[in-house]
Amino acid sequence: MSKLTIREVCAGALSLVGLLLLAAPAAAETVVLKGATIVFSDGKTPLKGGVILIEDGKIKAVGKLKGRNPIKIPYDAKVINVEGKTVFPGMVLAHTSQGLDRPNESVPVGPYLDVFDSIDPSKLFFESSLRDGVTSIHVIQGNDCLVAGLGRVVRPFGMTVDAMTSRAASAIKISVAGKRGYDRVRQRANLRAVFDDLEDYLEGLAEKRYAETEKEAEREVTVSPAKARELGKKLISDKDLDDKHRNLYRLVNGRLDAYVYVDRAQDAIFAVELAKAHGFLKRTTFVLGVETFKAVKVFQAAKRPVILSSSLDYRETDRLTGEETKTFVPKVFADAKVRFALLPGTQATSRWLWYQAARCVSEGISRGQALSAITSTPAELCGLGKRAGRIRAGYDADLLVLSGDPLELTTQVEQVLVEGRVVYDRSKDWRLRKLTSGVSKGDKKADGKKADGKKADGKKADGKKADGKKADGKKADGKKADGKKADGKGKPKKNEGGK
Amino acid sequence: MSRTVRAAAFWAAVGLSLALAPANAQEEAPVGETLYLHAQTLHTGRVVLHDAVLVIRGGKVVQTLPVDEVPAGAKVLRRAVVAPGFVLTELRAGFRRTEESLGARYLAIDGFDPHSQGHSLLSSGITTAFLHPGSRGLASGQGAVVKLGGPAAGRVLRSRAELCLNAGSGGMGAPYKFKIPFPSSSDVPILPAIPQRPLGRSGIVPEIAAKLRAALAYSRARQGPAATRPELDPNLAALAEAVLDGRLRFEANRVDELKGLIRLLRELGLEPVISGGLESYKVLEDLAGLGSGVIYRLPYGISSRRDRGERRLTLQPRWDTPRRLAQAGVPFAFAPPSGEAKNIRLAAALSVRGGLSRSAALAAITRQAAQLLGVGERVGHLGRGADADFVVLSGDPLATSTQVRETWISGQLVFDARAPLKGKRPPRALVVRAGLIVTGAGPVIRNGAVLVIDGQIAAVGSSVPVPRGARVVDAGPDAVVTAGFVDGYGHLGLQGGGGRELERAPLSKLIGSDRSSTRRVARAGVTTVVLGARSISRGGGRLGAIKTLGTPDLQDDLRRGFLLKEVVASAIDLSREDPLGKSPKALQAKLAAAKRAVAAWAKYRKALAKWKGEQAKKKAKARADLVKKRRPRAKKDSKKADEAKKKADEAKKKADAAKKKGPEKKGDPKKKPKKKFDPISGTWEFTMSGGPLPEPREGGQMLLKLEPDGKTITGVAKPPGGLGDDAPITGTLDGKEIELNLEVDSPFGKPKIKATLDGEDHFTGKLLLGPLSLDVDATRIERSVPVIKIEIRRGKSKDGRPEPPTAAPALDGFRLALEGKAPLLVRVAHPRVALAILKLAKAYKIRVVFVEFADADLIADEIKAAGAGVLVRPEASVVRGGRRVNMAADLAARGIPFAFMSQSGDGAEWLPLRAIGAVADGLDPGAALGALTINSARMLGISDRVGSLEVGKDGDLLIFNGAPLEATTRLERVFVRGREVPAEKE
Repeated sequence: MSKLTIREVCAGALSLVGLLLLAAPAAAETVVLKGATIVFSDGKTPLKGGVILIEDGKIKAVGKLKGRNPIKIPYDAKVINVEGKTVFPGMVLAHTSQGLDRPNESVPVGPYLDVFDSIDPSKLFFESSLRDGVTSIHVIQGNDCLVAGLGRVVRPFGMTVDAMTSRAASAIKISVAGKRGYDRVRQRANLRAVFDDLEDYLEGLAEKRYAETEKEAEREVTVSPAKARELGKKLISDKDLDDKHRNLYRLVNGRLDAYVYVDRAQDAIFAVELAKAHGFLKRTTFVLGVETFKAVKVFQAAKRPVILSSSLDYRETDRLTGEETKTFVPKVFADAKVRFALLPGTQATSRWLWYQAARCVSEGISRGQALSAITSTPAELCGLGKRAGRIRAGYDADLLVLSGDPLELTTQVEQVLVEGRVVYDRSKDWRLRKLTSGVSKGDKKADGKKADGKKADGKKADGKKADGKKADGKKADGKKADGKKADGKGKPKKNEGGK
Repeated sequence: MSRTVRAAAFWAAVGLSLALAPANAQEEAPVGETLYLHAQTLHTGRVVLHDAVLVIRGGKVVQTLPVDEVPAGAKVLRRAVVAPGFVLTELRAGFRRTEESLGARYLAIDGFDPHSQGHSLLSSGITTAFLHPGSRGLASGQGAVVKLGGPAAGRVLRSRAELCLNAGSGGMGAPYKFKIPFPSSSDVPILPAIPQRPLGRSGIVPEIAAKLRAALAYSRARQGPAATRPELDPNLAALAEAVLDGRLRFEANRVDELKGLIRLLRELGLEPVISGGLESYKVLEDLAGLGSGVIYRLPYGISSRRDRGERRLTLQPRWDTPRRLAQAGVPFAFAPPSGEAKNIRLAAALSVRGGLSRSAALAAITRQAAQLLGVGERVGHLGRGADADFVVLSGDPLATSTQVRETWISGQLVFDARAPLKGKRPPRALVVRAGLIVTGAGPVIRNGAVLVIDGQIAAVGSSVPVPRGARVVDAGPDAVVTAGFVDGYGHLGLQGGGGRELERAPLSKLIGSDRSSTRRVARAGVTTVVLGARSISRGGGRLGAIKTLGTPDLQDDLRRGFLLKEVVASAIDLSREDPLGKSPKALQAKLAAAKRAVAAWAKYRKALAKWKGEQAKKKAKARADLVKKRRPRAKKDSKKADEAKKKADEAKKKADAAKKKGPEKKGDPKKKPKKKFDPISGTWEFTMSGGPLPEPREGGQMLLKLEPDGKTITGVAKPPGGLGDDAPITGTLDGKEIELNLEVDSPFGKPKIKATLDGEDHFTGKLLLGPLSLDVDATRIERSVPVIKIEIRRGKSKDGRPEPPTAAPALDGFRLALEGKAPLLVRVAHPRVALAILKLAKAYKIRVVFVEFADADLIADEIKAAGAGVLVRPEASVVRGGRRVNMAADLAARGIPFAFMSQSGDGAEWLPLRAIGAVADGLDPGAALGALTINSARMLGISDRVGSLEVGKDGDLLIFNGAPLEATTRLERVFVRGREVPAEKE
């Protein structure tokens, strides 16, 4: 009974997921993607008629069937013919607080929190991520905190958080921007207090541990308290720490990555200096607000990558002269040679990562830089540097089968492979079909292929009306409309109207 | 390494990196390029140099040079007065209040945005400021010294400056403090809130003492073993650090606070900065002995809305305190009262009242202030190696009227008073100052000024505001400013005779493009010309008015264009009227017609108002009905609606198809189908050729309709190219012969078309128009019966809107006269006629102006009684008593109002000179000036715009170097609507 209820609640996601889980191979399987144009994330020349050999969910080899190093297809391989299609690495979402039942925005200092407890695998967000071609998602909570807890990298596929996880404890979030109700003075004073408190706690603990060790060795403590604190520091192990300080301790000890949220340019120096002073700058990724580009040189000097705000344009009016200036933010970072990852926005178009990358290309950023900003760079920033974001031997086989170039507006995600398994197939996308056509049976071909998922949401209302009006629209729409009419509803075709 | 030391090292590093970040870290400062700034007066902060050159390179002052040592070819900027950028010793950062009374851990620098540009205080010349964390509680935080503009990298001078403690009443009243236990549970109670001391005035200084001692004890104890180690307290740690670094600043105003504080400081061996210091003159010796500096808050605000001098306690502000501090050898700087930072210069100047030297007053907002803030090496002076932070002033730094023109920080211009505001067009402002302003209304103003904004006079008086970016013309003490001259009747630039044309076309179309003659007229001082026909029409004609500078294109924009008024008045020539006739018939007829027109317009206006009211009511009702109707409709089955829509679509398609095929199917569902072929109804396209037409005219259209009787034709003709009005057509069809009459007025009567149908959809024939005959060839392009809409001007349009009366431009001037808005210009020869006109004018209540009426003297009393006037050429003369005398002088002598006119085209140029001639002939110069300006304007009813220097009128100004109508006087400059008439090219 309960199973049935769940299925009813999130029918689309779970039926799809459940089906595929059943179909998933239990043991090692060899999969070959054959005949596609392979587009690489670093922008190098695409490989036409390429073959990708996948073993145990990892890419074994990338090449061609003929030529210098031909790939031999093993006899037992499951061959997926993707001729005429484009294969592109699964895109990586570097920073999001979606997929949680609710992000923490109320506990100002919560280093003991972990998104593990809050990720909800049944969220539609994961399903639509898959549909949009995102295969790795870094879920890390809100910027409206001081220290917001641990994040986690998940794949948008799986029944449980554990099954989805590709990297736990990915990073801890620190925000130097003003929490709601705090001004910067208070925010920073309290942030300093967090680390002062940690330092104080560790000193106390070190002194205690040193005394204990000496006592065990039946020795008297002879050194000064300052010396004892210094010596005792080496004796501290994770189990001595309490929940409140453990993750911070791992952070300052260089065992945990940091995501530092910098809302404004004025926070940049503070953020870098804070990370430097507490020894985690080398493991820090800066998550930026849109205006932060003014401090680009600070990040350049810090030699750290950044995650850019989803709004790519910044407009400002000069207070004295009234002159308005517009800045395309990624270009500033590209020119300064600061590596950056892009985030999707909330607008109808900017909610696709590939759209953000395409905008970068249109503003004069190289294709390689733009493509890596949605694949390899965010993968590295989430700690999946050797695993995701590229089509290269040894990497996870998280791949997208596209109908065309990844930055083309008309391109659709046709299939998504996660660890070599097809986890998404547009032709079987139950919800998409429902949304775009309103018809659930018997028109797989007509709808599944023609209905453009990328535009589906915006046009679903029109799709229902689909009348002669649509004839001058896009090809896909026109065909879809025809297909629908051919469906036998008794409506005359539009051309017959005058006869 | 201990925590404190490490933390200190860290923050020192932060401070260092903020303060000394290399110039290229964030924004390139102009390195390498050398700037030479030649100042007439240069205040370096230590000395005052005249005609010195400041050499700036890489945002720093390199040296000062005498003018002659500047290398040849160097780029030199010339400026009037240059002083160091002002240093504000107190800029409230304004962050939110925290609960702690001792909030020593808060840093004002945290709230500072080094990337922000365009701080409002830059316009006051303030370049450096101490960010003050606020004066709530015992300690509000640590301040910072920053620059308010310039490259982001170099803007923080001190990131951790003085910790601000409060020994005054602000130190009391911190909120109660309570701590929520963590983790909270039922076992751990939440304790009641603890009050934060001090609770009363007497406790403030002891509490400060206690905190200072506690902080020092805390920092010692933190080094000790765990058993005795105090709990972490960031505020005590920050306080201890500040004490050890000597970074303290105490706010104290009253003598008791100051005394207690000084005693404590002496005891602890501290030398902090004391701010406030209202009563510091009472403890001068103690202060001098202590060795600390005082930031003296100037006691009064200039722009304060309420009296800030007294709060709860009444303290006597004394302007002589700075002098006494200086005499006692106490280093001091000024802080403006709260909210008064923009008046820092003025506030400093006030201290000179109390006997302080001007140089010391200036130093108290520059060099001394910088030194007390601990940044005296870099800012507050313009010596070698200092930052190139300076202000360019219009005069002495402490002079009240001095304005800040530019502000520079690190060699970069960060504020420029003259920079135009983009996005919005700044108002074009002009200020003319002169020794004598002859306004033409009210008394003359000695040493006055006129402010013109966007071509309109905004202020006249002995002093006027000078808006930012205004052009200031200082004409000198001998100069005389008058309003621009008005030519009462001229033909400047008028093409042709200007008779009937003047009544048909807008003025802008009639004025030629000969700009040079117009400019000559303007240069002579005539700024407005009332434009009329070359000879006054006997049937009456209208007059317009133009400016002598501007462009015809902008005629719609009355404040910028050429045009002043399209219709000013009307003129009629009755000089040939029979003096024995009863009454001038022509005039009477015109006036009667005009009166009818006035009545018609009045009726129209009334009807229109009524119609509008009804319309509004209808709309409101319709809206109400719609709301009622909508509700049930929304509930209708959508399927049904779809079907209905489909049906409608089909019907429409069919109708469309039917239209294409022809009119035998029903064109309009309302019309009955016609079985018989209709050879006429439809849309015809016709071409005219032959006759006087050099080329065939194509594209004319006729909509024709055959009435059911099969003979009568009605329709409408649309002339080719859409020029002209639609013409109603009536006609007949007789077999194949068509006769059409077009209802069009033409000099030859109404045109007529006689044609023969020579096909189903074609006819050819002739268009007959008086003696002319044109070939007409017409083809039917659409057979459906057109809906013929003949627009009849009078009557009501479709929606019942009343139509305006027929436009009669020839009557416009008379209409204005009848409405009392304009005079009526009459040329008369005989006094008897003039009397008859005056009588008629009285009946119609209109004002009369006679044009060159030589015998005005005979009916002087009647003219005066009727309030009439006379327009004369200045050079006109009459014979009086056998002697030829100037006519204007004669009129003036008889008390008849008169004004000058040129009655010529570009001869208007000589109008002022001829007026001088009239003066030479005995006319009073004042009367002559009046006749050129205000009298002329009044007489012609344009005194609301020109004629005198009054607020709201056009900014037409003439600057003379002496008495205006003196032969020896030169007209120096002419402004028309605030724009200068360019001088003649040499």
